[in-house]
Amino acid sequence: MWQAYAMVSRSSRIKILLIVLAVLVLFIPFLYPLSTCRIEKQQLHMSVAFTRWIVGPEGGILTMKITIENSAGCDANVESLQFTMYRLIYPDNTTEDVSLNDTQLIGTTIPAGGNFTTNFAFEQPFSVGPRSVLMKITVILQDGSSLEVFDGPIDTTVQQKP
Amino acid sequence: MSKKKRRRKAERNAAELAAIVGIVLGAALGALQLQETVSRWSQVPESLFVIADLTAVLLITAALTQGVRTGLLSGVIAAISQFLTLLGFFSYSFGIALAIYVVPLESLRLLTYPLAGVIGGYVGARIAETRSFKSPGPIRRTDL
Repeated sequence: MWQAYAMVSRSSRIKILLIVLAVLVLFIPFLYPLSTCRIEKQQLHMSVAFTRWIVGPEGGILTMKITIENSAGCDANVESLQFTMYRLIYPDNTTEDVSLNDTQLIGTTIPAGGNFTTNFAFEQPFSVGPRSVLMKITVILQDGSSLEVFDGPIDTTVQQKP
Repeated sequence: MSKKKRRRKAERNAAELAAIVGIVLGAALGALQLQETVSRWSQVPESLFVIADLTAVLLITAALTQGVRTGLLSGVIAAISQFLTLLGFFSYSFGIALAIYVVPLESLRLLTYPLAGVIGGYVGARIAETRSFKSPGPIRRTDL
């Protein structure tokens, strides 16, 4: 094969080289993910603020402001946020186990070192608003992977300063 | 055949070759661009794909065209071919209305192909020059 290659003219050799180079260059971006970082659970910090349980005649709405901070070395392409409320704690300290799910589509990229803030309203038909809820929040990334970034209580009665 | 006719025929052949290169190149780049939407590569910056595409157009036109005009022709046809490939795919998959809305936004990079073709054509012409250097004369055997 090398002998055949050596027999062709110099300009033909340059052309072959250019075509091979072009094909290689085209595939470079597709190799990029192999060297890129993957976002770990600990690298996405979520904080919930300004929670408020608004109870109306047709049920309650839990509103909150969610901030996701990306401390990974690469951009986080967030597809959606998945909320799972699994326990309600009422003002008289009684609890109720529930399984309430909701999803909010985000479709945004959080740059490395940046953050993203969104408001979310969790609508549920409860006549009495709990003073606290236990909730899991999972970030679904655009590559299909999911990261559980929050699991804990959310106080719905404390007035929080901006 | 007169020199003028031969020259015209050579120019026509070069233009035909440039057009074929453009069509094939555009279709191939269009097919690759469709792969960019696959979630696996969603983290790759788009600028990297654009740079790779432009470099490929430049290198291919440098390899297969031999002049600025044919390079330009190749770049323009590659851009049209890629645009039509994307339009065809999006029309087939999501409907013509969405395709007309999405494909122009996805095709901004195509505007730079003619320039890449021109540069590639110039490089191709310089490569062709290396072939057309005249030899200083017949080689004389000295062992006779």
